[in-house]
Amino acid sequence: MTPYDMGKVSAFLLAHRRIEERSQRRPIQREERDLVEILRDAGVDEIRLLEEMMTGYGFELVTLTAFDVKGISPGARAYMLVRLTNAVCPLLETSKVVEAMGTGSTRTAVAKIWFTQIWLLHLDLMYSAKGRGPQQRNEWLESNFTKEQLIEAVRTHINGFVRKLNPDIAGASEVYSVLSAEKGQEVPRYVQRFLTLMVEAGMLEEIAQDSYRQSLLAAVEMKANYDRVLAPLLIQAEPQPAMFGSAAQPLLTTPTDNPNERIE
Amino acid sequence: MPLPDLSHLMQASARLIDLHDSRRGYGESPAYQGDARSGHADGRYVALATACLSGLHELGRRSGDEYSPLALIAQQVRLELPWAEEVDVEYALNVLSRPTELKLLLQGAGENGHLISEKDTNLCDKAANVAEFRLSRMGRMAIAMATSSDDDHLDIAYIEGDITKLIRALEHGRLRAALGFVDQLNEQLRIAHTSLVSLIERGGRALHAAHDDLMGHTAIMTRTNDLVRSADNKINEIIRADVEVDDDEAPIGLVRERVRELSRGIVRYSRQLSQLSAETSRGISSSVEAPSFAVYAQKWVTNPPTDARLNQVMAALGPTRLVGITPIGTDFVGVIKQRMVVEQEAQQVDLNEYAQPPEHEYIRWLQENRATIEAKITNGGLSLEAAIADGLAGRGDDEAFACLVTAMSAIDSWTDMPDLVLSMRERLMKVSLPEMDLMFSGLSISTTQSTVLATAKEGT
Repeated sequence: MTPYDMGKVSAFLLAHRRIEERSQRRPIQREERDLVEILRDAGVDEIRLLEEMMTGYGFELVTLTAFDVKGISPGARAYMLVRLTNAVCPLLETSKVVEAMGTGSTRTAVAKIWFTQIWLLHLDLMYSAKGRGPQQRNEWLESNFTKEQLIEAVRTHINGFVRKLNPDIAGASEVYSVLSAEKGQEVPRYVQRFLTLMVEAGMLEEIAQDSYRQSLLAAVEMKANYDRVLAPLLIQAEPQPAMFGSAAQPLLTTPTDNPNERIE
Repeated sequence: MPLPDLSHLMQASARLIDLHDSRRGYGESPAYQGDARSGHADGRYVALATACLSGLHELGRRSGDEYSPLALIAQQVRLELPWAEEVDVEYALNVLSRPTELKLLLQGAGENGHLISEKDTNLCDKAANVAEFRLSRMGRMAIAMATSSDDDHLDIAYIEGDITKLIRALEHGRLRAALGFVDQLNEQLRIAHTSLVSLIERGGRALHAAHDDLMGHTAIMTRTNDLVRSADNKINEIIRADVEVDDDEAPIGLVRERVRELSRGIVRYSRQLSQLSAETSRGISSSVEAPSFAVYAQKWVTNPPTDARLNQVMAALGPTRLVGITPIGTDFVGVIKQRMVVEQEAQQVDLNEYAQPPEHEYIRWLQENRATIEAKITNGGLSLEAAIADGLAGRGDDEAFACLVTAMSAIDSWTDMPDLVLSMRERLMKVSLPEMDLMFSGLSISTTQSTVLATAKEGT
């Protein structure tokens, strides 16, 4: 692999975060096939160099075969760029993507609230509803759901839970205010924006009209990053008795809330 | 891999199904009551089902057990049955993907046995919400059973026997059969491997249940690896002996490649077994039980995380896009050239137009005249007009005169003669040479010793 080849491979990977040899879902263009050939022919040292370069960008280069995960043709390979939790890629933008959930007049905070809530509920459809743990990457082929199911899940969440909360207690929460002010039309609109956004970002695949499935990249990232990033946050949401001894370890290892402080 | 005829699966099980569905009361007449089979009695649905299973098997093999859309399956079915309509194919697939509940009596030690319900009878899996299908576990088993009715070909525990068959086929030079065996082994190993990965990912009780079989499987894999090495040796023997093989046999190189692929697969599977062993011996499962994300959505209504924490989550798991102008692969085309050997073209040089660089001319001139100049300086000094008169400026061409003036102006740079004195006179002198009329101010070089001598001469 010449530096020229490495430049081509890394540019494609940064733009798409995956290179696949074969896919039943999408046509593989010649450029991508050529890159697979380059990666196949590369020596161990060259792949290591590429991996190191990608680590510098804040990614782990993961190579998957038909033996590692379902949905890859025998003999074919898939290369994925998985985000590292201890480094942030300066080329990636997240917050502005999330803010795209809102329209021009929607406040950023409101867009973010809708996104976060729908994001958790879509995870619920792909994982919890199927009894699937975040580590079960291999089950990504079974993760499909429809737009209607997601809309129904959001409506059930708002009508069956949020609106039943005591306004005197929950009124201080902005999330409560935003969701309880929903008038009926916002849910399908926000769900559609969420799905479009996730498909464009390569986190979901639209496998049929209004039917969606988790992408392999999203499943791989979930397995790699759930324990370090999301699980501590979810555990914190649980009401727990004060156990100062057990609190010491998370304090030492979890990232700080202070944005001015460097995250190690 | 050619698909076997599935009809004998029906032949083998039809009577059992009839018995399972019999309405005869216990203790009644033992006379046969006849079949009450309705339907078209033309065999078309079974033919469709066979073609569907065959198509799903082929599509699953190509895509790694991915679900295949109905249109693609129908297209595959029509390769075998051109009369097949898509709607009929869909009906056949819908039936094949529904389970038939069987009531089976397990004969135990007790007199009455143990009644169990078996619903794992669907031959295809249908994807939720979309018309997409793939072979189910039972479907694959049906195909394996049809291939060979003596063993369960999906159980990795029998792999040694299958590799022995491969070795025998190689010994008899039956390469096509060997290729069939090795393809089936690779497929079997891949399915076993992904199942093992799923088991490790699922963790929990399933992991501990598998612990008992671990040692046995590890030993099987060790022996299997030895057998594959034997198969590889057989192939090498065939290649070395240069045995003539029939034209209709598979190429030996292809068989060798597949056998090596099998060897790599076994190593990979053994590695997974070691990981499973490590997981179970630690006594804990790294897998996380399915959390209820909906419950967390509820909790985040009243107790949302801070913005900074949420941003960290989204940075690792949320949707992203590239910012700024990011290069794409095609941007590199033509901008940076790939390193390659370019044949040098023969250069056309016109010697008539060639002019030697001035520094080369000066060095040449010095080499020719250095000794003369040094001798003249030693013998009383050298003035510019004398040097011109001695022919050091040639016929008055530019180069020779320039070399002379340069050499006299920078005397220290080319000679190591001691005590040199450069002197100038402001009086202009004129000299005519064949190619040039020169006018210059006086310039002379002498040693201090010769200066003293000249002064003494003037004094006398």
